[in-house]
Amino acid sequence: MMDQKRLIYPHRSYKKVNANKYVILKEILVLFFFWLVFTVFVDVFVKGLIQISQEVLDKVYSLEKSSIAHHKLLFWDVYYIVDFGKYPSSEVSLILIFLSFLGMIIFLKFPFIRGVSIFFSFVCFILFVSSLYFFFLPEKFPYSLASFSKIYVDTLLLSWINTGLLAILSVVFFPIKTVLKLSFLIAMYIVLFVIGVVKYVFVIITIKEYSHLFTPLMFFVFGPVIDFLFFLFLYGMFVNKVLNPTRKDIDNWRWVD
Amino acid sequence: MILALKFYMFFCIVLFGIYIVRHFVFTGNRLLGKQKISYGDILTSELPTVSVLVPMHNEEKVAEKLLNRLVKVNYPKDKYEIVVINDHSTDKTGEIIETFKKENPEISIKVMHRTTGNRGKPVALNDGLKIASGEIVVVFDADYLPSKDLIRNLVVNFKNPKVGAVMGRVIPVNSGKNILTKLLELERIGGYQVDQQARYNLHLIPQYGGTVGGFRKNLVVKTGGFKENILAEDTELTFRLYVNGYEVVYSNRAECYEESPEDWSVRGRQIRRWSTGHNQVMFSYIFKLLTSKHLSFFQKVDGILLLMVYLVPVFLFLGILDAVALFFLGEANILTYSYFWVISMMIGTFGNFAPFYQVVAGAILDDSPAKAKLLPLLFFNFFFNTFYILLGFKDALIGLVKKHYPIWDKTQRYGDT
Repeated sequence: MMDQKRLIYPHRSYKKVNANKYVILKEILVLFFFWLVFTVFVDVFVKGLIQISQEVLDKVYSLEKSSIAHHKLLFWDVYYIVDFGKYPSSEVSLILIFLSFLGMIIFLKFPFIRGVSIFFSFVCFILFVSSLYFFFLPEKFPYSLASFSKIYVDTLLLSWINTGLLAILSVVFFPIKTVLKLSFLIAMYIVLFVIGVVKYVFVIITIKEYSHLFTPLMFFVFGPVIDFLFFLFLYGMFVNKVLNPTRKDIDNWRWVD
Repeated sequence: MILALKFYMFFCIVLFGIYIVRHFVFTGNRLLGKQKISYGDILTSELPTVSVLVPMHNEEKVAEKLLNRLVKVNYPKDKYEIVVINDHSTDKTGEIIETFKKENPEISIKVMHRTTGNRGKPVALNDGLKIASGEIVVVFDADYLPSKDLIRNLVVNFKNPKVGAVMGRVIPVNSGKNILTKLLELERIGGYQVDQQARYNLHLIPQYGGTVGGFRKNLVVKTGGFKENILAEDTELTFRLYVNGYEVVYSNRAECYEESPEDWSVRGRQIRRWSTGHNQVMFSYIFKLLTSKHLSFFQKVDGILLLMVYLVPVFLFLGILDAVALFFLGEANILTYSYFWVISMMIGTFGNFAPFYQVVAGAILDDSPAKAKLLPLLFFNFFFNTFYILLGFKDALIGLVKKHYPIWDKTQRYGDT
């Protein structure tokens, strides 16, 4: 015969969110509706980003104005900047082969904050492959600045949509008001928009000023990866600021069913 | 060739997509679902005899702390013994153990000094099992700090005859030491508070973790003891139990503190060893798992995903090379559509293979949402983990082909907690 414990004290082991399934379902619908509206009109925001970026670029390069083109991506009308980039000389490619190889090894062996150093080793790896490519096959490089610009903006657009979806899934179960979750989505999109302008201008200037050799780096490192990093940063801040006050509110939590 | 590269990209996306959904289900279940309480929390009863096995190799910095804790546990003295296996130590571990035994005659302490044969945890455990007399064996690594009720909370789960092993929750005690230990704490939170508990809730495959856990001695001995050339004896035991019709209980309430690595190179070697061992188990058990009659469909699916956890970074690494190749072949459009990068990074922010939303869910349940501020750094840890997992996979592959495995690389202790 086994006895039962007379009392099980509340403990974090079996703590869970005190939520009603219908409330959660309602929240999912609200958040998805917002995301759907954003998704439908995402090309409008992208167009805004392109116009701001063009204004910035026109200020930087007052003598040569860039132009804007557009194309169809699924059902969106996507705008992008058309400009011309530089090709690297063999000497520059050769120097970068050695430098990036050296960087790859140094960062791989760097003993501190290994996660970051291995990431930089990955950056050097991309640069190394690119330098090799431009040293041996410069004429075969498949992208102009205009075609890359189009791909970059398409990626950015799809990145925004996916990050929104990810953001919804990441906050939907939290014991906080729907309006706060919605605010997080809006704040995230504002930040991604601003970051998007900075990134896009940076990409265009880099390829225009320093050559196509950096194009792969712009795609693999300064593309969705940066968006995702900023998303994580914002998400972490949001959880810290918004969920901290919920800790002591006993109504938010349940312990044993 | 381009078609093959595109197909591989598609494969990666599907694979990572499955893992994302899996962990999202775990997170939702842990935050909102019905929580399955381990037997340790609801029952008190006649307790079985227990042997606590502590393999030690050069543990002079931490040995006494653990032994001091183990003699103070709340368990009937006549049903309790401590078995210390001094495994080829070259420091003062042996002397510390012998002195401790003399100073604590009220507790049954058996000491085995291993000076010949192979070194390593599985070998040491097998030798320990030969002198252990308890029905249940509980294992602790030397850097753990068990609380008074821990043994009882773990052992009481064996009242259910279907239970072959039990696993408690591991919590780092030195998390404030540096950035690495803080990140490791996040990984542990995601892995135990959410992942293990959700798998237990959903009747999937919670994992026996080799320490802060126990198993039925006769079951393990009957099925051949620990495989001495497998570096993840804990994962191997988990799958061995499941394919033989037993289950593993996860006891989230049975918390135990551990000393996590404070040094990147130590952590790297630990991950490499885990990767080698886990992949060895994958090679051995994937077909046994699929053909076992004792497992449900969902347990098989979860088991395969669990077995592949240290293989996914290998697929991801190949995916990176694939993406670079596609880019230079003028096929960046496919990368745009596939959105490979963010998906891979999502899975990549797995700490102990838990994505960021799972880590945050755990931090919230642990009443410490402030820890979420470190999430961006966890992103970088993905590159670190991938690098060492690749090395571990290489070791496992070489071992599979040449039948020669690397020696057990013990995790360095600090003893300052």
